Amino acid sequence: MKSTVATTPVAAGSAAGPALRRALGQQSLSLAWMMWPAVLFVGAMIVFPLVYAVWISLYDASLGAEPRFVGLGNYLGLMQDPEFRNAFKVTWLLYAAALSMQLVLGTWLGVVLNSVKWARNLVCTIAITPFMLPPVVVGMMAMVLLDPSVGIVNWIIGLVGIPPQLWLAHPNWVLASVALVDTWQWAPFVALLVLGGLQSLPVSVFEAAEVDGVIGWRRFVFVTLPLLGPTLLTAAVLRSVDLLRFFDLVFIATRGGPGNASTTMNMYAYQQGFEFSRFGWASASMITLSLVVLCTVMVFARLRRAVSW
Amino acid sequence: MSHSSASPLRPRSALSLLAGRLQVILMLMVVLLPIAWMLLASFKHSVDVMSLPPRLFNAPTLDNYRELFVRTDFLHNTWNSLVVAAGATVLGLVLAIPAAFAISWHRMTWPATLTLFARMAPGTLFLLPWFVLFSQLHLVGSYTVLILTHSAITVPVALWTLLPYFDGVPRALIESGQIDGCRPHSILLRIVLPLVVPGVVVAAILCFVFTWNYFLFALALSGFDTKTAIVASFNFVGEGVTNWGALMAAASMIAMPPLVLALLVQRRLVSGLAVGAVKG
Amino acid sequence: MKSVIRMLALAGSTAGALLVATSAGAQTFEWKRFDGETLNVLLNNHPWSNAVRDLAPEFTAKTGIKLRIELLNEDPQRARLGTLLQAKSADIDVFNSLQIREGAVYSKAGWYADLTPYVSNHALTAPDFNLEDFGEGLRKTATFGGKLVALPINVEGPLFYWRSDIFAKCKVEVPAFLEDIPVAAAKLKACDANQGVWASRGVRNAIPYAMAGFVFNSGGDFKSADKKQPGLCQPKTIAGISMYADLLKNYGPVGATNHSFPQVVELLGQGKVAMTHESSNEFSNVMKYAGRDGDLQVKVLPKGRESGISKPVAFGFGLSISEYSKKKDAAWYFVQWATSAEIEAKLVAKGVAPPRASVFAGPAMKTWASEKPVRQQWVDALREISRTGTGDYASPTDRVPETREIIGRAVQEVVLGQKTAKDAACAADVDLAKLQLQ
Repeated sequence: MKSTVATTPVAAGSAAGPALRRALGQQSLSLAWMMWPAVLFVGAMIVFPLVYAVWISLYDASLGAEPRFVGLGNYLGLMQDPEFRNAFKVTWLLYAAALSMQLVLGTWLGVVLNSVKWARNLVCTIAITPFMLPPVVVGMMAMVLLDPSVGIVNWIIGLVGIPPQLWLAHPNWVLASVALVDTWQWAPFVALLVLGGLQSLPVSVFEAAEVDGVIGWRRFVFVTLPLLGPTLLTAAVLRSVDLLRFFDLVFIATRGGPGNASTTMNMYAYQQGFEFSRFGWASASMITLSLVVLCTVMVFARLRRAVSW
Repeated sequence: MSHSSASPLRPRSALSLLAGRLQVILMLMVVLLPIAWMLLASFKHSVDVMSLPPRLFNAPTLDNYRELFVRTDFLHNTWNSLVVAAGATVLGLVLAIPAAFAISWHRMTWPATLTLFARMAPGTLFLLPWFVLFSQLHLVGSYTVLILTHSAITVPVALWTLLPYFDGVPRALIESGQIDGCRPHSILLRIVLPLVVPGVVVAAILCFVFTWNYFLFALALSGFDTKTAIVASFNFVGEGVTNWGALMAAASMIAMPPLVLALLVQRRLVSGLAVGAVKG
Repeated sequence: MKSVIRMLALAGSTAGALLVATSAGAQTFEWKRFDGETLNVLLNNHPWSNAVRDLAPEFTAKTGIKLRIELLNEDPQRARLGTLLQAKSADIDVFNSLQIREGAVYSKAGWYADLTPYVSNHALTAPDFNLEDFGEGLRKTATFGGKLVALPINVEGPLFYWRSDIFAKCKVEVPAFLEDIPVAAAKLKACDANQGVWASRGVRNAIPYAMAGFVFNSGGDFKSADKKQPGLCQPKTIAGISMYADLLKNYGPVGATNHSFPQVVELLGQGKVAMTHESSNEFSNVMKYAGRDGDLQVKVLPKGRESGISKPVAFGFGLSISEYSKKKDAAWYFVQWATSAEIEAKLVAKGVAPPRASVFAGPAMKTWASEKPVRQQWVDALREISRTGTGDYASPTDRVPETREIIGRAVQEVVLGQKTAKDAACAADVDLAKLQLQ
């Protein structure tokens, strides 16, 4: 690649600024058409379900009953429903805990992997295995391994004298436990992105920092992290859309319990739709959840623009 | 000059070297223990899986795998998963690579956000409308519908994964290609794509894994012949038949192909990174 | 001349065939009528489903109908079923569901094909089918609006399991009445602090199943006296709820509120608890653990001393034909075969209790039960709950799944010490009443 840059006769031309080039009669490059296939494809796939869901959410529709138009009635009802409000709170708490854990641990993990010299391939492959597992399987393993009575984790910590913990059965700490399990699975994913980001950082910057006497922690915080900004943002966005729609783990391992301490919005919507067959209400919940995620992603998108350019 | 790393130039003290190694070992242990447990459990009888104190090998048995492959259609299901995951990955990359190029070049945000819509709504929102739609088109139960629906996931995942890599390609390079008289698709294929290979590899892994492990769409849209492995794995827990051994065997089998794939492309990933240090 | 001979031959053979047909009677039911058809069957993961899937080749051999059986865990099965039937898809012909839970709602939605005409159709139904062989209670549960929507495929319900060796060791009497259970629990705990005493379902939507017997035997009910309102806030109901919750809280395992039947089975099987109130379906599972077939005993939940009532929970899953199926007649062949006495006898060995009285009293059952004493106990218990049991343990409403959540949550609050039984129960009644508004 570097040879391309060095030997191409156009090197001279590329040194010229955009204004000069335009003056030389060249059009600025228009690539907009390249993105339309992807955008149109996704748009086509999701437009019908979204319209359908919005339409149903305007009705009081349950299985076996005649649908009744209620306009925004379902949405207003959701705002006042204590179960939904609880689900809202649960979702955000879980999101905050899990995202922060995953970004921090993932970055640490990526840095560690980057510094591995021996058997890097093997180590890296092993390190990323957790997120290869189906969420359903992770949920079942979590349920089994963390069971307070028959789980192996409590047995292990019992060996070093720690009393058995309730983990997923604790009304107050269940979310932390769930966040922990999800972090076990997804911090490696963040690490993979961070690794890629670190690998493509220019050496020159580190050389300059070295010269300036910025080393160790300070270099990490003031040089590496900012450069990792775009990568971390991507990781944050990709995790956010999944964390806000948290479902598999709580569905399998805790069933939203104890009580409703771990009932996220997605699980609430699933229950309403698939167990209670209240389709209008469930659709309204799902649309609300989608809007929440949308707003969050938009915030991150703005951040990305700020950080990249 | 070689690729950068977090600490490239100063010689590391023995202590920091040891600390580094310890961190790696700790990480490996935390990552591996549950997975090792799962693998070991797949060779135990159901009743032994959760017995405490845990024994490494009770009386290893192949019964679980036998049940998986002989009594059920699991091998066929695995093949289905492979077809769907590969298809969705290819389609996702084909659509996302040009899109990432365009979005990065033009510094836009809205198209990327738009494709993410598919990941913003809970999956359950799509189930019924898609089923209604695709049964009208007589596509339910085909590989086509499974690949199409899962591509709605892989396109945004691939796109968002690729964006930072495309962002990292120097604009001067692209402009020089244009000045050279290259057409846009040629710029993409010959100049830019080789530089973002690590990103493509990562995106491919993610697309494959996400599709491979996603059960919701296949639950409703797959037919008898196209049922995927992840949906089939649900057979093993239910009232009266909690078959932990077979479930762990199914889980181990499901985890295999993504792991093998990751191992295969890991070399490519690392070697690609070593070569592609353009900005040095 | 040749044509005359041919005609005579034809007439002769026809007459002969007719003769054979009429004389043979039952044997000539035309099982092969739908030879070559293929049926799509969606079942939930259950001992019955697994056993029938193994027997499927027999059905194909008998009728020539090919079966595509899909087995899914309860929740995914319900999700898939719901999605397909809502879209009025013809992709499912036969499915099983739980009438006491979703029967009313599915019926109103028009998802079940009416089986009544089939049962009385002699052309399509084998002569030895005998609908009355199914218990009347079971048949009633499967009837909505006068239509028979399903045929029962099994009988199940929670039973009281206990470890006779632990009771003997601690010299504690086996509870003869409901009120004796907490007393025995206290004595067992005092006897051996390291031995777990009690385990039962603590997950929100699973609690009512295990708890209902406690409520009924205490003289309580989930409905008010006039059967029109929720009835949790009655003293006797509260007593039952309180007993169940206290057992879990004081003598149950750590983390009980996350436990459903897999964990309870695990605990019982590994010998970590002395007694439980768990499904009859789990019997064969528990017996797989070493030693349990020697020291575990089972019976119906003891009746209340004060109330004198024994009203256990008993119900069965039902096999139904989809209203949108395009092969209803062929589907009926499968349904009647799968619920026939012959097949049910074969399923006995796999731990499936039959809904047919004849099979219950039949030789297959006797042989299987005689192999181990505890099996005979199980059979006796099931026979009793088939007779005296009920599948109705919800407040008066069609929205049964939601009642399970509300009732279960109330009990969880008591177990976690967040509310007293009375407060939780009466608050639950308010929520349950809201379900009746629709």
